[in-house]
Amino acid sequence: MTSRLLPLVVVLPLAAGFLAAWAGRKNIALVRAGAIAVSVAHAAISLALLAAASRSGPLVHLMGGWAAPVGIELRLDLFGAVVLFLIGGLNSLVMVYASRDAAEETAPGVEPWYWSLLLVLLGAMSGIAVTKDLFNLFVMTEVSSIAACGIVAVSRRPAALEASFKYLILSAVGSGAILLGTGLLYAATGYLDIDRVSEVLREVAGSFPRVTMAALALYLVGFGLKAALFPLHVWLPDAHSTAPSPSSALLSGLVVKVYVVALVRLLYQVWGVELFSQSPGPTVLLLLSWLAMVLGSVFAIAQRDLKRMLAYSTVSQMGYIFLGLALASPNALAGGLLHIFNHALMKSCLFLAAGVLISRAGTRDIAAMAGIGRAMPLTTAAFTVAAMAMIGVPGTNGFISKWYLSLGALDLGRPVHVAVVIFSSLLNGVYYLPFVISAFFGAGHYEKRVTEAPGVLLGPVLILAAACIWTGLFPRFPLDQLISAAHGFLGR
Amino acid sequence: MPDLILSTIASYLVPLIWVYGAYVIVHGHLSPGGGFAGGTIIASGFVLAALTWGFDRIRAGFDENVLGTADTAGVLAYVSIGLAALIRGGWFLSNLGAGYPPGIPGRLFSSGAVWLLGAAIGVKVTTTLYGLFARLAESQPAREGQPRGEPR
Amino acid sequence: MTGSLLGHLNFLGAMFLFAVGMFTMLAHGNLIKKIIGMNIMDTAVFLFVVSLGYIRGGTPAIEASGPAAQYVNPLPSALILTGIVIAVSTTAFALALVVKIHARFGTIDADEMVRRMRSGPQ
Repeated sequence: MTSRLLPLVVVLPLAAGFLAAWAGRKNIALVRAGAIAVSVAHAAISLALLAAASRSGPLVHLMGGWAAPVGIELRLDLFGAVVLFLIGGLNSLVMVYASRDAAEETAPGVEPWYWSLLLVLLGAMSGIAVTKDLFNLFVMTEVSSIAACGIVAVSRRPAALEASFKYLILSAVGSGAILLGTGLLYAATGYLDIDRVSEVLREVAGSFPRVTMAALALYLVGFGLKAALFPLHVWLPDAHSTAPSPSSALLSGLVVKVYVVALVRLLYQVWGVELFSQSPGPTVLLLLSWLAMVLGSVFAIAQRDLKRMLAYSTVSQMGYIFLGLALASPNALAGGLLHIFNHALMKSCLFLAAGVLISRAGTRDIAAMAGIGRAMPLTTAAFTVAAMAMIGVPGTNGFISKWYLSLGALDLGRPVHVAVVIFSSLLNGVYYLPFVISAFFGAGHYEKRVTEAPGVLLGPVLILAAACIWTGLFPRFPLDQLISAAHGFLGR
Repeated sequence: MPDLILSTIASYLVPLIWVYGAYVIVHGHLSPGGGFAGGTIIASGFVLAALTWGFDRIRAGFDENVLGTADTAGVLAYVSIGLAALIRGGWFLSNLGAGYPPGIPGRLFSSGAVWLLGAAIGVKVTTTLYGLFARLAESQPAREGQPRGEPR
Repeated sequence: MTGSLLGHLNFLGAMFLFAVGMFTMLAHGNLIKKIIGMNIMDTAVFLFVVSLGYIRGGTPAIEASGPAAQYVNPLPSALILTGIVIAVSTTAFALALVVKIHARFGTIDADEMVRRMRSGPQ
């Protein structure tokens, strides 16, 4: 019965997006309220689906009643359910923030289209999480990429146009690679359904080694471009820093992650852990994740613009997630998957708080924002909590995912990865701690002219910071689900 | 002042293009084509008309509001057909299982929901493609180095 | 089916076009050329996938088209229809961005745009 709800998480936001575009010119307040309502409904449905998937196993929905391989199936396993709930919940919080902030940060007259794009993005990301068909995955990836470029381009800042164009072109390279990879897989196996492709691929990988390798490489490049895997991340600092703050939160928090979700499905459900570990894939991913973890932080240290620093930090954190993907041990994979969830909470809190701080302080320069913490204590405190979580202080959720990554590395007998994780966490401290300290204790006179943020903006920031601590102290959700998902991925 | 040759030929061609496009849309379940292809054909008829007689003539009959409403109506029709199927038959976009009448294969009003969906897609594609063309073609070019105004 | 290079001309052409498209997209500075390169690359992929379904001497997959030993696989064509629509949407969005970039910066050369962005007022 609940499997009937499954297509709704994709269809409702898409339809609402078109309604928002049509109605937005007349009544923007109605559009804002409607968008938040749709997002909350999405989160509620995802919660119900998560409960059902935990109880009775993966939910399956046949589109049009046609079963694979004739039709497209949607399947929600535990991993997908956690991701879906993350998408819905985070989107609701960000939309509440945007209901007040979007009018300031978007170009004049563009706000209705912004809400439309946000809703379409919500539907498309949900589509990536629930689909079981490779071409449907490609279509949803495309829709979410275009919507993601759109929510960058609506910004008031002219630099956002260049950033959005760069994002679009590089994303198009990725899309071309993904489509070609899908074509190669279809040529080799004759199927597009993930389960069928996986069965046939195991048999024919020996007979078509180059086609299989080419398809794997194309998928890694394609989704790697979209997920900002080093060195394919070059579009990310511009795009995430020039976008409006709600967009930055969604982009860094969710958009780059859903492409990792797609990659997880490909690497572990289509290729499977045996085929994948025999290919050069894990080695390549390991090397690139090291570069991301270290160099992302190094670049972040060099930044003077607060949002660019956060954007480079995202590049670095994606390295942890890819490390988890490359180390094929249950703890490491669970740590990587958990970091998807945790980083979404932490980074969106950081971007939303940064947005408020920047708009109040009137500057994006880190040095010029000294002392802002005394004028806006709650916002800066939330920023501090999220920064601590990024560094991986025990008691925060960042610690849990890094712990599991390290456990997984030790399980495989390769403690060198633990050293890289620790070194990178120290580097994280080098750029987060100075800002936090200077914000609270630096010389500045913001108390005279700046007040704390209003509730609509402050609420989501505080909720996200609290969630960072809550999931750090009581990590059972979603850690249990993700550990069992990791075992499922690796057990076949 | 529309060009004489263009105006004469277009006045014969555009209705033909529109009828052909409508044929392709409606026969989507019987012959190659369907909503996408037919919608593109009708949109190209609109484009030819706009290029020949100017965008303002088209806007008199099909301005942004009409195009936008038709656009949204197409999407909502598609989604409603799918949701109705979800409620009645249990699967999103199911066809015969949801009770859409199959009719006699080979006739125009057959195949259940397929031609309804095709019509919705045709409307959507037409309005979208022409809308994109109109917006892009009517944006004002900027002088070198000078930031200029927004597209109309 | 294996062996003959000419028999696989479609696929070779598709790979060549893919390379041409990607090179154009990444190497040229003019924004419009980048968009053209993106389209060439996408077209190459479409050609590749559609050619996968083709069988020499096959007929369209409609029952009324007479007795045939083999039908051409309609699935790749249906998939690529969707892909073409996606490519159109991406192109339209990119062109709209170029229009706005030209309105704001007065140029459609990527390097010149960055130069004006860095030197001009924000």
